[in-house]
Amino acid sequence: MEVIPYYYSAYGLTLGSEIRLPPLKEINPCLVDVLIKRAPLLPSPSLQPTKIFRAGLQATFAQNGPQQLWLSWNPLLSFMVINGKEIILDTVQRDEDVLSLFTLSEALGLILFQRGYFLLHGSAIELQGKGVVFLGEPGAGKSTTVAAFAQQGVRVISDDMVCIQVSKTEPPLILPAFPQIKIWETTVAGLQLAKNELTAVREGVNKFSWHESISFTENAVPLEQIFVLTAPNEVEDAPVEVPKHQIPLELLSYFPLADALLQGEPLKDYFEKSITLAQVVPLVKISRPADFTKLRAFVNHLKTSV
Amino acid sequence: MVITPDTQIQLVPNQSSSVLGKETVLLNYELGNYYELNEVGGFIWSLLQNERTMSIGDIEARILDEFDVEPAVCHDELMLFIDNLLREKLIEVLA
Repeated sequence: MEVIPYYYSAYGLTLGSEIRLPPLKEINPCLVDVLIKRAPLLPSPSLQPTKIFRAGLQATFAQNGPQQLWLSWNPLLSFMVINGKEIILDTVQRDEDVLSLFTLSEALGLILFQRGYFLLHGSAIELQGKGVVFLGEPGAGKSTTVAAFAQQGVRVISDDMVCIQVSKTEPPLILPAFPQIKIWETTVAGLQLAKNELTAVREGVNKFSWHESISFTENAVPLEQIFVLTAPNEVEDAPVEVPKHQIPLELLSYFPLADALLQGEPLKDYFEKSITLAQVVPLVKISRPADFTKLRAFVNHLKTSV
Repeated sequence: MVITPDTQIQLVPNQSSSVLGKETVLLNYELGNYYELNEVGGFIWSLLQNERTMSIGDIEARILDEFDVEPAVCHDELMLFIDNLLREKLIEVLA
């Protein structure tokens, strides 16, 4: 039997890994839900370009049915993701921060997709036991908003990828990802965060990880509200509630993985989950606060009104 | 194909739909096409969901029962709608 050197948990799953995955905290050895190992990959069908970029690289993707997926960041590293249980990583790269960054984003997202969770590119916080999700185009201010809440001691559920358990009978739940927010240097300065609590991320220049001192949700949280952040003044100052019948398409535009996954039965499943969400969760468009003073006011307002 | 009041139609299998507010949203998940139907379109859709197979004439009668509309207008609009559903491969004609 192979010896697994590292054990972690993320998105309510236990992970056994051959590689270290900072910034996750190690847990005691246990029976794992997901195994992460380094090995050569099986040959894939033809890899197709995706809309996913990370560290300036465009990912390519292939599948042999929904349970056998390939995600490649050529020439840096390639993943094969199998049955919601196994991530195989093929790379000559040794930098564990880089390996962790790529493993804990879309590769782990593919595991969650295979396990039937509903995924959104966004961030989430917990206010009075209720989950609030922020969506928006890249650069819309999702992570900055979450960091502003975290600075006020609000618990973070997820940054970058939100994982929701949708069922026809139970209210939707947001699963806690792992304690980390990634923010730009301008946010660090604007919120006046102490730099000694942050570490640089190998993802882009001037991007920082805040993980040691944030307050993080340990359990799944009921999803109460979804906000879409838009550029200042793109919508009226007042929040605009999106009509229910427009919510499924709106959510589809925040699918964080390769669009090629959404065809046939998996597309049907995604559509029906988005309808379930549309029936019970309001989706509201708001202008991103235009500066850090307004952001603080927004944080204080939402803390008392959700 | 000539559509007459006796033509029997049914929904294709590869679709999923739901009523959200007053609109019906539907997806042909094999083709990846997404649609929104207004109230009358949603009514016709729900008839086909419940009855499985219906003739155009029966559908027309049910619309005239449910909505306050001129029969001639109803007929023309229904024919247009059925034509669209056929073209988008959302319904099929029974042989």
